[in-house]
Amino acid sequence: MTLIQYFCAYVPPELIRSCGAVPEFFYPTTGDTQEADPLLPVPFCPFSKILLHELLAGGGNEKIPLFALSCDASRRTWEAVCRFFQGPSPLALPVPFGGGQRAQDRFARELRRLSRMLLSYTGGKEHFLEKRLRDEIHSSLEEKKKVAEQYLSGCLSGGILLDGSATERRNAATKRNTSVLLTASHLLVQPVISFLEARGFTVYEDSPLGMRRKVFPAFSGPLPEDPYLALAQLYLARKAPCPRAGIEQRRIFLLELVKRLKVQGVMALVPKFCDNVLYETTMLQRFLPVPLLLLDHEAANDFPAQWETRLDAFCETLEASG
Amino acid sequence: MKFPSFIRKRKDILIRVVAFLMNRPGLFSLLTPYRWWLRYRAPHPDIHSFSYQATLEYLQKLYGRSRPVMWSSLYFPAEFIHAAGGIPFYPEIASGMVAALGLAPFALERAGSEWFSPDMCSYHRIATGLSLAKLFPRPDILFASSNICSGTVPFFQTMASIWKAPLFLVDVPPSFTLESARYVREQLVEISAKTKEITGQPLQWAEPLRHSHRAHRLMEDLVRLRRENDTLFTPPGKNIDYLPYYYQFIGTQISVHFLEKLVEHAKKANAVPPEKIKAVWLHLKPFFPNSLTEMLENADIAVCAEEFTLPYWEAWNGEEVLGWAAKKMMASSVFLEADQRIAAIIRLLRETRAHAAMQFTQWGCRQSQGMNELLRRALREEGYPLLTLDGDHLDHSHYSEEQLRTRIDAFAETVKNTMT
Repeated sequence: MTLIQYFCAYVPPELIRSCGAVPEFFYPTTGDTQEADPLLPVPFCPFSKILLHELLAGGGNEKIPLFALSCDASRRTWEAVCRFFQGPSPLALPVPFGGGQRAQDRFARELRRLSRMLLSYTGGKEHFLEKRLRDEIHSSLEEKKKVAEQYLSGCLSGGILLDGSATERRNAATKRNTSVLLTASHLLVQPVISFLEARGFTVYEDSPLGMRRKVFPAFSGPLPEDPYLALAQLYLARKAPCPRAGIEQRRIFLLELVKRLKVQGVMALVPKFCDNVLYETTMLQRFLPVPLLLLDHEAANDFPAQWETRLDAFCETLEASG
Repeated sequence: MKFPSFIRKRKDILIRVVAFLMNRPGLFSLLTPYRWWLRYRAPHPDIHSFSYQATLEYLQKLYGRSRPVMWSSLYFPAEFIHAAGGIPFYPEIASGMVAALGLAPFALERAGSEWFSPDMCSYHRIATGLSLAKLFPRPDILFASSNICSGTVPFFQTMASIWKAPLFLVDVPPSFTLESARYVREQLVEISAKTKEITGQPLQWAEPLRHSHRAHRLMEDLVRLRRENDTLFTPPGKNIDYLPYYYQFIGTQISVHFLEKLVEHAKKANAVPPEKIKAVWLHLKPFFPNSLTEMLENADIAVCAEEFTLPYWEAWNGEEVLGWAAKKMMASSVFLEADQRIAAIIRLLRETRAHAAMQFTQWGCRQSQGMNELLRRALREEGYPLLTLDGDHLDHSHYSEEQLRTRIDAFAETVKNTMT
């Protein structure tokens, strides 16, 4: 069984499955970066360092890493993996900018190219691939629609969409009526959710570990007949946008989330040296109609103790204003 | 530095007054007599006087708004903007000039006050600060390409939001194929049509292409001369100050005249003395007032080629123009893709018979810093040492002179040992 390990919300697991491989989302288990530190500079994406460390420290494991090339950090990390990883050659999926028709066409071509690479690993046949892919998309659509409806109506709070991670839930002493939106990258999502839930808050996460991978809010109109085009449209234009999708798209999307989920505040976990998130942060400062707490972090997977005071103070502010 | 409140207030008022004046196009006609006088005093200017006069003329046109102002990222072809009848403004290049004038701290502080983090690229932060203060010229259109770095896209989106101007983004795939060239060309076709709608006139390519072709030949001549004659350009790295002539003025007579003068200068220049270390300069350099060039000279290091002043694209040879522009944009991947960049640097080191490569890293630049280690290892395998100096090109706060001196001296000593 070929295991394909991916970490980016732009990678469609439907394609991996239809090629006969098993998709596995990469959740960092530690905050270690020793193997990556000599290869990547100090001011660099902390998640990429952890990812590179885990791949290199794991030696030649049989999982095949699949990199969505969507930012400088992912591209440079991929190049380092190509050069130093002892295991099977990593796969790459270049992701175009923008979500318009031309970008979708290009992404569809990249997906088609990726499917050929995947088949070369799995030994699968190209016959009926399109049919299998169409079936995969079809069977996942209902689920996607249901998850989007539930999330946007406020039914999917906490770490419920973060499968694969530690699902530790602390029992809330008292349930409060305050809810927050937690926007984050790959690191520290679950610990912050647990912390806030333990204080009785309702938390909606917006991270590539869960929501941005599983919520497809733009469901109007039929998908194209060509399955690659359909996938390209789903993942470029219909999926919940990530900070890389564009500042304006994110502004509209986050304002809509704040309104629909009726959150009283937003917490943003800002990975140091991630340009997309750093630019989004400036946008949040200007446009958010609710209080915002920014918590920046480097490579870590444990809840930093100094955050407790800041989170508590922010929660008190929200309650007081609520 | 924290100023007392009454000084801060005065500073704010001063900035507002300057911004008010900068946004009065008619005022810039006052520069005309001064420019006449400069031309009268030096009818055949040397390279530095020419550069000064050309910069003045450009600023007069830019702030005088004689034509639409079109902002652009570094690898968007300037020929397109000249064909569209616009005045190109490359905020990244302009930020370098701002730093050279010692004005970066104000711009960085202004950006910081609006939450633009010090970990972002300082080229972008300066441009942001000066846009927020309305000191940069208001764009009529912004053009950007996705390939320069992943910070460029949100930076230009932010600029479009601050200035409320249309942004045309070209998505450029990393590797060249016929399919990807077609993809870029299709986007340029669409952008051409939209630009025409805004300016009300079709793109006039003939002149920009003629000048671009001529400038490209001059750039090739310059490279050849420097290689054949071992030309010593002083001070080391000075050629990087002329970046506007290699980028935003390409497609105009200004660039052609400047490069003609530079070729003449190269013909007369001395050869690099044999005891000096010949180094290829990678990426850019610190633009704020600093002692780097003295340090290099003291350490007997001469820069024999700069990565960013090479003619990296193919000259136009009569082919369909937007197809050519697409190929020019894609050719920039020689700076951006690790494999291509490393191969090009090794080629350059061999062709120039250089002893070493040097790079002053830019704190906020993930794309160039991210490949430093791959580059170092690849060069080592080929027998070339690489010195990477940590710092920031525009933000003085990352600059430590003594540390730089120690590293440069130690590097020069090591390289000299291998030379002997």
